[in-house]
Amino acid sequence: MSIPTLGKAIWRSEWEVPGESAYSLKAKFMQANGVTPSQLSRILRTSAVNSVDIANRRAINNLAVQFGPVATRIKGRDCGPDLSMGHAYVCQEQLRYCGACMATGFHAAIAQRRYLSHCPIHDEPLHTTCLNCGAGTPFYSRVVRSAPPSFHCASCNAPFGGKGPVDGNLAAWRRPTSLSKLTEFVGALEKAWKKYHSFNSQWWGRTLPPAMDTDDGCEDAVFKALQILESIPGAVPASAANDVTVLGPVTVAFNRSRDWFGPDEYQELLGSLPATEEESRYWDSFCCASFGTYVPIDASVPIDFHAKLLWRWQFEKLDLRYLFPGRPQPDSPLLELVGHGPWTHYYLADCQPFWEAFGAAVWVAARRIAEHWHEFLLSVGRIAPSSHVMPRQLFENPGWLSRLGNWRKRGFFPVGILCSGSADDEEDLDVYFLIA
Amino acid sequence: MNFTDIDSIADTDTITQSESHQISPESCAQRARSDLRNAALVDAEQRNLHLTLHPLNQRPITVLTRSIREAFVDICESIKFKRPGYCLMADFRVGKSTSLSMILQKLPEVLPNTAFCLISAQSHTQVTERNFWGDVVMAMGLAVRGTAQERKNLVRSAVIAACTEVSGRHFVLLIDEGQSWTQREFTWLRDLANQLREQDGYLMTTVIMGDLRLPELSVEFQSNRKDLWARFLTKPKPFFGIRNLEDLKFFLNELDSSQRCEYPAGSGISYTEFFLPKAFDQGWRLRNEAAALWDAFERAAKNVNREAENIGMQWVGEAVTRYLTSHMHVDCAHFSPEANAWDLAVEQACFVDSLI
Repeated sequence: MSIPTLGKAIWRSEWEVPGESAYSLKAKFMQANGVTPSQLSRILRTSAVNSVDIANRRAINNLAVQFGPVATRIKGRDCGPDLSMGHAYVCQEQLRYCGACMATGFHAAIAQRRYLSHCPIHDEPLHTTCLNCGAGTPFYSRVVRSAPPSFHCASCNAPFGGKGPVDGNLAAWRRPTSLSKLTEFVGALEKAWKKYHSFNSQWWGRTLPPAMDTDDGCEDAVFKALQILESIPGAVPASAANDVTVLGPVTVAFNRSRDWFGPDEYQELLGSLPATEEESRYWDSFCCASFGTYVPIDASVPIDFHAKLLWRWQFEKLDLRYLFPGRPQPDSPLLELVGHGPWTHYYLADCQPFWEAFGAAVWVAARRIAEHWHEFLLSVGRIAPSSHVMPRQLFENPGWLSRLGNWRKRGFFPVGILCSGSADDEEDLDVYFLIA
Repeated sequence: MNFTDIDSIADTDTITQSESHQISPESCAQRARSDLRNAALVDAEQRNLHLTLHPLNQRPITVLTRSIREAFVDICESIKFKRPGYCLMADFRVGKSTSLSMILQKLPEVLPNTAFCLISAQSHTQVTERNFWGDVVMAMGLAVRGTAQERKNLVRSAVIAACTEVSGRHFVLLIDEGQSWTQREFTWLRDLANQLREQDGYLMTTVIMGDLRLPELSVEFQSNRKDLWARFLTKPKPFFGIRNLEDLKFFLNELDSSQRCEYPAGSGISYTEFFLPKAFDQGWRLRNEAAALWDAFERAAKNVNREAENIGMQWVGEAVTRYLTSHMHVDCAHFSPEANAWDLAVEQACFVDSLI
């Protein structure tokens, strides 16, 4: 018998490729077996049945039992590493596809991750709209009350692959020719992600690259950093992540006696505040932006001076009393930064070399923000505070709102952390700082 | 002893050690084969177990016959020349179903880019399209559900998937008990074949095996439905069991062959040798008993005023199994069975009952 089956479903092993997404598996399963969206939903909802009571005819005829093996495989698919550790609902969103992949009835799971801008197999851009009519793609995982998973646009019926029809064309479904590229890429990315763990999901959620007020920006930055650190092959990151700098590593020894980060160290950290006379000289060239932060309004303000202010604003509300463990949880910026993750964060918070490197990294980030703001001022000329130019221009670019503002108000902190090694295993930690 | 002697001894030891460490794959296979032979032929406990599981004690017995070989060649030719249908008819207990499944097993080796599926046609008191496609879907090992149209689409998908699996565009449907279907079923099958050819570009060939009612169906189609007749049932070819001494020799020779009838697998023991190893070792072969067995069948037939022609495989297989089993305890180098041993085996196989 050469009818290829899995359970009681028509299923070719060729249709199931490592790294393939649940979306294309569902589409192929539904189309080959004439399964409706509601039936698929029911099949996937039912938990796996390992043994069937043979006296129970109803159970034997149950679709979930008959199609159980395929359903298990569909359910076992994930979308690859969630680099932000805070964006687990990526699979609920719109389909992101590569035309060349879709032409073969294939969709790579990792394409759903927005830190990738191009397909790792074909180097083609990933789309969320139909190239024929511009309509949005269907939801990635929803099958009921949405267009069912397919390889064509639900609006204009044009195939996403751009060539002949793929839907229902069982002979057109095949493995992508350079599948090894995808396997190598995903393998390298997972390995890198295992090696470098980010610290705090909340912190990460706030560490956004410019012009990206979403969690995706964080994923983009981490992805770019992993590429820099581990040279992951054959992947094009989202373009906005190109400006990511990785500093480090700073090695933090686990078994070393604690270097308490005390008041003296804190004063040292804040030591590079602008001098009073320097402040008074440029104060007229500052105005308070609508989001409550002072910004230079003409380009005569030195970049370094603005950078120093930006740097100080990241730390100025620090309350040292709360840095020490055992005290009540504070409203402190630093503990807010490090205090919501595993205990390793407290361990780092006690470590002098970490804070020195962290201060330096924030300085690099502040300097970069000040440079960008300076370039912006040169492009628009002097901003008249009385006019409405400044707020409008600022609001047109939401990245400024986050970058120039106080991180606690705007949910943006300019430096993120990647850490290699595990404090749980009492190893030394290599800490890298990400500036986006 | 001088130093030269010591050196030569040392050299010999080295050679022996290196030989003992380097076991070639061939010697491994030989050892495994020897172990299997011992277990099957010498060890009493193991031999009993093997005897229970021996293919001659299972049903169906899948041994090649001349008729199967001829049918196989004809079917291959039909498929090769993309004929729409091929039809075989045979009497009861000849081994239609077994031969069809044996042919199905062998076809992919000869025609690797052709997809195959074997189904058993079923008759219903109320023939509906939904029932018909339900039977086909079930025979294909798929979940049965939906309307007639949905079931038909499922069969279509299965055909395309099977063809894609073998990188071909030709599908062969082997239908056992073809006489169970009527005009309606064949019409639905024709429609599917047309749809596959015109819409999807796939070709379907049917190989129908049926009993002696198949020619009646063929005649009926010839007068009423020429389209179905030309496609499915043009001229049912007869399929036989054992027709003559030559057929029997061929069949018994297969049982002697350790290449095609080997048990346990990998032991190099033929079916015959398993039962009578000592006799086999001294050159005794079942094929040399062909004339005696054929005579026994003829005598039995004559006793009821009939002729031995086209003997069903059920009786041939059982007679041989009975003969071999009953002589296991008298197996020796100079094996000489009693003169009426085959008559007894044929009688015990109830061959005469099939003639009445």
